[in-house]
Amino acid sequence: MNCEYVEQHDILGSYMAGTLADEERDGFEEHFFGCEQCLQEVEAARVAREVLLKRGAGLQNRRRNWWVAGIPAAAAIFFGLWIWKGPIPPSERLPERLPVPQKQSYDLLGRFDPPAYRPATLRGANKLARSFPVAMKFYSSGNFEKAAASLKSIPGVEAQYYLGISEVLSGDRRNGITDLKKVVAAGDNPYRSEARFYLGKALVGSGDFPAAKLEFETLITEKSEWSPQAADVLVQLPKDIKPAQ
Amino acid sequence: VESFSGQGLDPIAVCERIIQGDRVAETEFFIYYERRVRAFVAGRTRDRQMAEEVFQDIMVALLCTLREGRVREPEMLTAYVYGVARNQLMEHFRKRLRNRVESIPEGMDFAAPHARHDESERFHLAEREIAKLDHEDRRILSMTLVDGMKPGEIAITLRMTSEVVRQRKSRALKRLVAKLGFGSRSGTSLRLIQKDG
Repeated sequence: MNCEYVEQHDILGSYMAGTLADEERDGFEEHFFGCEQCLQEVEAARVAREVLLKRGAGLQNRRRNWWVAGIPAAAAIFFGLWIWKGPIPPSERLPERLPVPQKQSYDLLGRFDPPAYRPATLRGANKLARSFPVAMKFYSSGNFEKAAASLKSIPGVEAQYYLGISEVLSGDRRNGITDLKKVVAAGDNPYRSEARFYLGKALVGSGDFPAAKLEFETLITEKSEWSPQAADVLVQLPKDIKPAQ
Repeated sequence: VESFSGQGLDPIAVCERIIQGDRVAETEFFIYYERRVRAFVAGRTRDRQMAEEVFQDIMVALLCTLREGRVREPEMLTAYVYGVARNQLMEHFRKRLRNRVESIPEGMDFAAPHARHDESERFHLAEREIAKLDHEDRRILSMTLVDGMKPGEIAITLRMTSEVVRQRKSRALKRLVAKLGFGSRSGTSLRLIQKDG
């Protein structure tokens, strides 16, 4: 990896947000160990991230989508209030930093960005194998509903893994959890550890903290590349979790 | 690992001097790699207490192996340091799992400044600088560093082009780097020297 690659692929932002794939993360770390300029940017970005989190900026960004959708309604309400009571005095305006309910923190903790998919060239692919790249085109473009619908009919652990991810990301968390569990249960396979990680995340999102805790603990015990990330999420879970049944 | 250029720390000489018991060389080594190892640990865990523990473990492990002359390829010192740092971090996670639950400190402590004075000072300086940033620049930084959004996604949200997002992000970050003065303290001006054969 070099500075140009870091810049072109927006590696720093993904690294700070913890969404970089393992291989790229390791490559970037190895790079900034030897590159003063990138090291300085990592250091500055880390402090900036802490400041921005303190300001609650990340949560505000995530809220924006529904906030934008609600602009017309909010404008109507505000205008109605203004007519009746006049403009809101400064002392009654909403504070810049809104208190964040605990539950929302866990909702955010349960969220994740789609794991990167890199297409492989297959020789003599059969019809089913050919339909996989088509499904993954939907996945790569962010159309997770269509990706899930297409992946359902494709056998294999890879398809099942992306099916589970697509289902979770399209809001069908229940089926997503079921499919990710199948990948984990499929035994030794290249997707097992990351499936377990995202399964844990999906379980956090569904509020099933005991089951999520179990997955993250197992992941750490397995000593995989995903163990540090699992430990990172684990420490952010509620402290008073009762053991999973 | 690239970028072994410039004047300052010579990895082969430093390794040799440390084997011979030169404490100044150990200090030079520590100063040079402190920021790198800290940045790595901070990138892997948001638990400050743990980060400090891991950092100490990594540096102790490194100095022990250097003193014992166990670095086989001194010219690849940076890659070696990174490898040790990764192994130590993994070992720490494993140890911690064995000793949990009571040893796990509270998480979600993203915003509190470090106990260390310079870290705290830097945090406040960053707060001031970020407050001075243009509103849109601040949002771009936040979407990038907190939400992990790509310039393309940010561009759609803020109705800009990806290129403008990239430029504004880069400008804001460079401004922070300049103001926060990373590399101006301790031995950060040191560079490893690439030996030509």
